[in-house]
Amino acid sequence: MFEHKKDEFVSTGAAETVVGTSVKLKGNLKSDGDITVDGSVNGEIKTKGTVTIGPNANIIANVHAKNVNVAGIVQGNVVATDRLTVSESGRVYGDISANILSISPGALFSGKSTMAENIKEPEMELVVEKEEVVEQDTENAKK
Amino acid sequence: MYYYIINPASGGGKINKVQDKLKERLRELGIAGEFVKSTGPGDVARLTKMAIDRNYKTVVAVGGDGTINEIINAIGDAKVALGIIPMGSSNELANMLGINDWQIACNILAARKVEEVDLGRINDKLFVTAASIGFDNVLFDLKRSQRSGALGRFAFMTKLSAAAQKFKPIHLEFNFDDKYSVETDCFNFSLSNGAFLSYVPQKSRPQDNMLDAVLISHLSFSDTIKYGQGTLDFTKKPGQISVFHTKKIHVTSKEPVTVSADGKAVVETPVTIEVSDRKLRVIVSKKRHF
Repeated sequence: MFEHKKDEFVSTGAAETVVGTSVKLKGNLKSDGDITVDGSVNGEIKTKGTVTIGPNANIIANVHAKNVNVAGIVQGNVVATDRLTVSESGRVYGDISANILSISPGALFSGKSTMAENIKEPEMELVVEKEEVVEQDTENAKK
Repeated sequence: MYYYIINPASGGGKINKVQDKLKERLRELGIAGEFVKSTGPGDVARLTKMAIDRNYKTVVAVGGDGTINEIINAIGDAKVALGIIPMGSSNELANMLGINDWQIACNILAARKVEEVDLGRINDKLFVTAASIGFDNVLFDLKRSQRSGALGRFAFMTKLSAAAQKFKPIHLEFNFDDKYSVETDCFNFSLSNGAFLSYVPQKSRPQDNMLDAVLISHLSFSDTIKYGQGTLDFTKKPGQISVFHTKKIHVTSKEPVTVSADGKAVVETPVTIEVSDRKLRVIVSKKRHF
């Protein structure tokens, strides 16, 4: 906080969700927006956007997204409905599936590779809103 | 009719220097209603309830985020719009709403454009800007005691340096929406209701029914000083920040640590913080940041 704000909004990149270097995440990380991972994730990552796995990231998770960029370590299956890019520092131990696949020299990939034209988009859970009327009545009753 | 609640203690008594000019300007604009002054902690809430009992539709906070926090917690379900004349040491909400000084605030009040914004909730306490754990709470105390002028700035820097040397990151565990958990050593944790933090992606809005959890990991001494001054460029610190969008978060720590809301200490961990069902009706500028 404190005067970082006002007019000069700095971005952490375009990503809506960012897992920093020292962070350990366990569970299912689901989002509609882009996700950047620089820390460790144990579970599952799913989004309709792009997942960027940074060079310091260590992921034990299945990844399902529109685009996936791997510069760190992934132990799990990776499904990209559009493009999967594994850069020079990237390590993928698992099966991969993508429409467009790019693996740089020096990258490591151990698993099966599938290239399909129509991979199903990640299905997002339907979010059912709470019954607000009941909630508000409860609030009122407390007053 | 407008009901102005003046907190004479806000911002080291800023209001006392401009009070006459302010009242004159409000009269010129035809919105000079009733003026009341709070006399101490808790009095802003009492005055707000009095305004509601007397059927005022617009309550104006003449103060900072702390004054606003007392008002929003006293409004309850009343159909009251909040106006702001920023006079505090911290004016986060006013800044986001595009209300940069008292002169602009008068014009905005006269135009009376009202928007609904989300509120966060910690137990039974509401907040509108952010809830914080960690170094922000040290800064809140320093800012509150800061005096104006060169000597005030020097004293602030001296205290900031001492605090930066002493401060140790706090190990925190978070559970987000009962879906995933995160643990890390935290220099600071903020749960922001919108575009209050520069380093949060710009999609963040106070009307999206979501909160932005922002975790800052360890910072060096020099970066802590820059953070305290508001000059740290996080774009040059990749990996230092984590951002999660959430409706509800549960925070635990080994030892209880202070949790603040709108800059005021309210509870200690463990704590659950979530988006409230209640909304705040607030008078905004056309130049607001959302």
